[in-house]
Amino acid sequence: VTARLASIAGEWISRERTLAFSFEGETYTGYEGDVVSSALWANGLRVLGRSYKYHRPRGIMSLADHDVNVLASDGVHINIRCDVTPLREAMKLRAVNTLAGVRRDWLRVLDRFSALAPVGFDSKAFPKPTWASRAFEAVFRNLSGLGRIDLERPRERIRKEHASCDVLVVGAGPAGLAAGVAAAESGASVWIVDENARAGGSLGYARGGDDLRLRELSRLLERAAKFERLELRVGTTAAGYYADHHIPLVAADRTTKLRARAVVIASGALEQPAVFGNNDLPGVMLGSAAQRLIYHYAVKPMQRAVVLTANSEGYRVALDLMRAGVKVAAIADLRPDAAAADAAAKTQLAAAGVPLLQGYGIREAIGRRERVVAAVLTPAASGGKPQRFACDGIVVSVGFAPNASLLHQAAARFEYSEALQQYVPLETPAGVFAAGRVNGVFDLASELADGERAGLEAAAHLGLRDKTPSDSRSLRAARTDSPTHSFPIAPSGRAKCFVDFDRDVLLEDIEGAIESGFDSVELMKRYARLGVGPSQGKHSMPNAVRVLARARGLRVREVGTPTARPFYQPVPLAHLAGLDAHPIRRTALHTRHEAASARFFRAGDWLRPEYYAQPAVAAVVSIREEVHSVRSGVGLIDVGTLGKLELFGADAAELLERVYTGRFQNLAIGRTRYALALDEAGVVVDDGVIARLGGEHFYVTTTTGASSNVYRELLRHNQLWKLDVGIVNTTGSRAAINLAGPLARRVLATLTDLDLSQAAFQYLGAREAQIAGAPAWILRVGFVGELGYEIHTPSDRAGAVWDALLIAGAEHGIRPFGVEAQRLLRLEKGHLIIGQDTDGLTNPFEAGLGWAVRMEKQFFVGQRSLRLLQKRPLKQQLVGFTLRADEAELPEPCCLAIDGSRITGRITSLGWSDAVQSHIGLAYLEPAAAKLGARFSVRNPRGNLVEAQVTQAPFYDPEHARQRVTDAAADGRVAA
Amino acid sequence: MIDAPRSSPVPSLSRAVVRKAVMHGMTVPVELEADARSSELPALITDASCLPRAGVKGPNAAAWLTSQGVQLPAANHWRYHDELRIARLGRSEFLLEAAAHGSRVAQLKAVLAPAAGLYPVLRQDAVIWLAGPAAASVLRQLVTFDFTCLPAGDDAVLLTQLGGVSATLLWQPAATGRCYSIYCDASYGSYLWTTLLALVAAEGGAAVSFDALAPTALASATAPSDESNPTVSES
Repeated sequence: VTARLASIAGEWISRERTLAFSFEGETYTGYEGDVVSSALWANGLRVLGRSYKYHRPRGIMSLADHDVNVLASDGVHINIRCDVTPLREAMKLRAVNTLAGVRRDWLRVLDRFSALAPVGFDSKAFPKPTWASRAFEAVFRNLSGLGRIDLERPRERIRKEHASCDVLVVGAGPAGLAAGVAAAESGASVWIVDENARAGGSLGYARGGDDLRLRELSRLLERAAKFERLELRVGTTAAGYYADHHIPLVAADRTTKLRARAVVIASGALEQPAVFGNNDLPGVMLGSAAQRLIYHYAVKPMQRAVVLTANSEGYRVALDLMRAGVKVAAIADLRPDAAAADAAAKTQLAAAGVPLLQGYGIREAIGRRERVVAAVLTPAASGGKPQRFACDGIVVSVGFAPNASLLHQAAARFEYSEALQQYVPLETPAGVFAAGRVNGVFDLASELADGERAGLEAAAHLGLRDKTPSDSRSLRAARTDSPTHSFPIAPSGRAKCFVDFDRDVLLEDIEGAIESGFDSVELMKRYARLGVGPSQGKHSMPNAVRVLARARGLRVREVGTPTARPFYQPVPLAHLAGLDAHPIRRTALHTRHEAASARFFRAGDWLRPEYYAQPAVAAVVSIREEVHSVRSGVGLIDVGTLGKLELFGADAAELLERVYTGRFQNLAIGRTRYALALDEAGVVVDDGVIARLGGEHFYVTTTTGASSNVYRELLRHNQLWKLDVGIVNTTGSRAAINLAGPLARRVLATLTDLDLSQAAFQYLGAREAQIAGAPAWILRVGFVGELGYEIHTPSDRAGAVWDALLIAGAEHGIRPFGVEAQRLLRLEKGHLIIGQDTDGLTNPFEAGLGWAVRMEKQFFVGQRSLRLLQKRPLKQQLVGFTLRADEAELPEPCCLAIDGSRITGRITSLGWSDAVQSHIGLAYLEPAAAKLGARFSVRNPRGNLVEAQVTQAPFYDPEHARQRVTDAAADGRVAA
Repeated sequence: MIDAPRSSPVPSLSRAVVRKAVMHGMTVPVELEADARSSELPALITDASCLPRAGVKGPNAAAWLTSQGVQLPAANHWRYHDELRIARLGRSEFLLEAAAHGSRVAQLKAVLAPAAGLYPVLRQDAVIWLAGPAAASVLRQLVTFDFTCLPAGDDAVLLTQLGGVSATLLWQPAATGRCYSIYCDASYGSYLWTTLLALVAAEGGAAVSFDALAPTALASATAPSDESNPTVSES
């Protein structure tokens, strides 16, 4: 059976190319230009999908992207919207949410038990305990829903791009095209976007039995084509409105983030369904859907139709049906009297012998074998005898809702027009204009005029022409009859009356929600799951609001509408993810680490080596070997992620004195000093080393994570205090390598002419030198507790320096060590890590950093708070601790110290130390519990208590003897 | 002591490299597989990080540069002069970049030392040149800025976010569209190169050698021949 019509002017299909595809395992054909639904309908199929909850049969309803009756999966993509998805050769589709296929779906039996699952049942019926509730949830999730997610689905990379224009017009219907042309004629660059596959909107399909509107569309498109700077993009949805006219435009293959200087919203109006018994049966469709089938796809919607209308559009639909060869069995007009505008159409229909039942509605669609076979018409007012008309389709044209989501998101103000039975914009934000049906203008000539007005206003807003006062009131008034019925809802005694087709929400569900007290639009929406499906209430909310208003004895305007948020249409996650480009910083030595089998981890934006893997060697063993090489020989670590700032100028020392807690005015040239930074509350926020390279030249290192913040704060304070300081951030342009271990000096000495003797280059010294032919600053540091040289060199030379150090150290067994080894080495030394051993409340006294705070200074950031804190007893104190060497159930950092039922502290660091032959760690404890030798309990992740003992830190080399190594020992002339 | 060799912050394209050479101390590909098709490619990128650069900032930076004979552009603009590309980043900060075979940057660095109101800036940028008719399409995917609002010959300096990374962009007219010079922090060089290369490839383009794109990117510079240039040697 084919329902394909003979060629029709303006059809979207190309009959030269036939496409074969399968649906539910059966093979069909369609034409290029078809959407999946039109091709299926043309092949005589009527049950194209199953509903979300009751598994009711569903067919075409809007044939636009406004309902989800027909969703399919092709095995890769789920929830394909068949009403708008172009047909492609060899598609293999199956309807979603069925058991044994869409025709036999065994779960359709649920429709008979709907009384057991009324609205809100899932909130009330799921029992405790929690496991039972979860079991119920799993069952219901399997019985209802949409497509199944394929976790193995390959990653799609969708193009995401930026663009800009003077005027964006949303909607390429008559008003949108007229607006775009008017703006372009004024000299603006214009984008017109439309979610449909072709431009024209209702001009292409709502023809009323002739092709006059199609010719108007051709004229508009010809005018638009004359402008080079007018871009028309179809198949593109304006998905949301964001500040400053920033609009995401979503197409199948890309997302365009468009910045416009003005926006015209001409998004039209969405035709709305009527509510009556079995209004979801396949064959019941909107008038615009029937017209789209006829004129876009040349498909006969049905053989014999009953038309339910309440406006002029319904009569035009009837004429279009007749033109397509459909027998119109009857027209039921909800209005007691037809409008004068319909007289001509009525005459034509009467001449064709079509019965017109004025003041009638449809009570129920009668179905057999899951499709419409008759319609029962009853007088809209009480009384009167029902009449039954045999038909295989019911066409509904009872009204519209403005497609005003973007206007709401743009914070436009609306008023409810009783004359139009819809909200119309009262005031729009600067640069935002409404035109056409979304603006309450319905008559075609008026729509064109309104579009032109909006386009000219947008151009005037941009200064391209003079502003002239204009508004749409007179254009709205051109339509004398309301295009929308005030209450197209007829309860049926026995059959289900659907208000929300996405989630199978019935008229009685809404009434039940209101009776249960969910009687505001926002509450009702959430309780009844109304408008929360993929259609986002496009076809359900207006009728639900009418039901709510009538139940509460209010007017529609008093009930209000739910908040409209982006996105207007669901946007695939692949579109949101885009190219999946996430900025990651790599040090200048990254390729060296890769070659050395480093295992990387993310440290803020950076990738850092956690450790260097060895074949068939466990990570923990590799890490211990790296530690051992530093303690016994020499190792090197890439510390290029440290923040690295240069400060120049007469006030550089003054700025550092004010930002850091220590003294820097008296720091000698060629010396370094530990630097601690606080916030205004006295909380530790960063630490590092400051080297004085010249009288007015300082070099500052920061922690990896805080470099941007410290740089920003230094810039801010420099400006605030009007100091003479130039600040240069060299974090990314300077590499840093820490060469550490008792043999470090021997390795370094082979690569530099610098005098490395203790006398010439003491601990905490800073020198400028050439290392392996590269300019470098060398800082003598002791973070890991061994003789250490931090080499700072331009990043383009870092690879050469690293290679030279490895070659020079080869005879001493040099090896690179990662961050895990460094963490353990510094823990043995009792050095804390900001952010790990401190948190967002830690002050320096608690962290044992009081020695680095010079309270006698006139001022530093956080000093006032510390003065207050000094007067109060400490709440907690950072201490070292050890666990039994054979402790089996180890705690982890962040585990709590417990005393009875009280929390007395928490662990911040923990690790096994070969040097100490014990588990060592740092912990915050209440001062009373922090006495040296005191024992305390820690609850491990399994919930068991582990005993720990407060121990003196540093655990390793407490006398700092490793930094005072003699020249003879450092040079290898005697044992270290 | 011999100068340490330099490395680019941009990942190497070892599989596509036909020939390498040392340029300004950095080993760079001077011939890539795609070079032969470069005039047909819709989009081309190359790593130009090898060019020597220097930075100087401070209230006295402009005066110092002028005293060195450097002709300065207006704020947020750039120009070529004396084998030197000078980009003025704001009012008192300058980026100096040598022309392909120029030694002017080295001369200036040799005499540049911190002084009152004059601060040297270590410039280790990853520098990527992007050209070809589809270059604008590539950039549209990473930059919000609307390049069409400025003419191809505009000598503006654009400080912007490119793919989420702070970057400086300059451009100049090329045979087909524009040739963009993109400067970013060296630590983001690998990320930005990889991202750009994927987008260029999606447009049907490819990475080409420095030499294949340099005549376009440095059209305004006067470069001596290789024979007289001691900074280039085959490897």
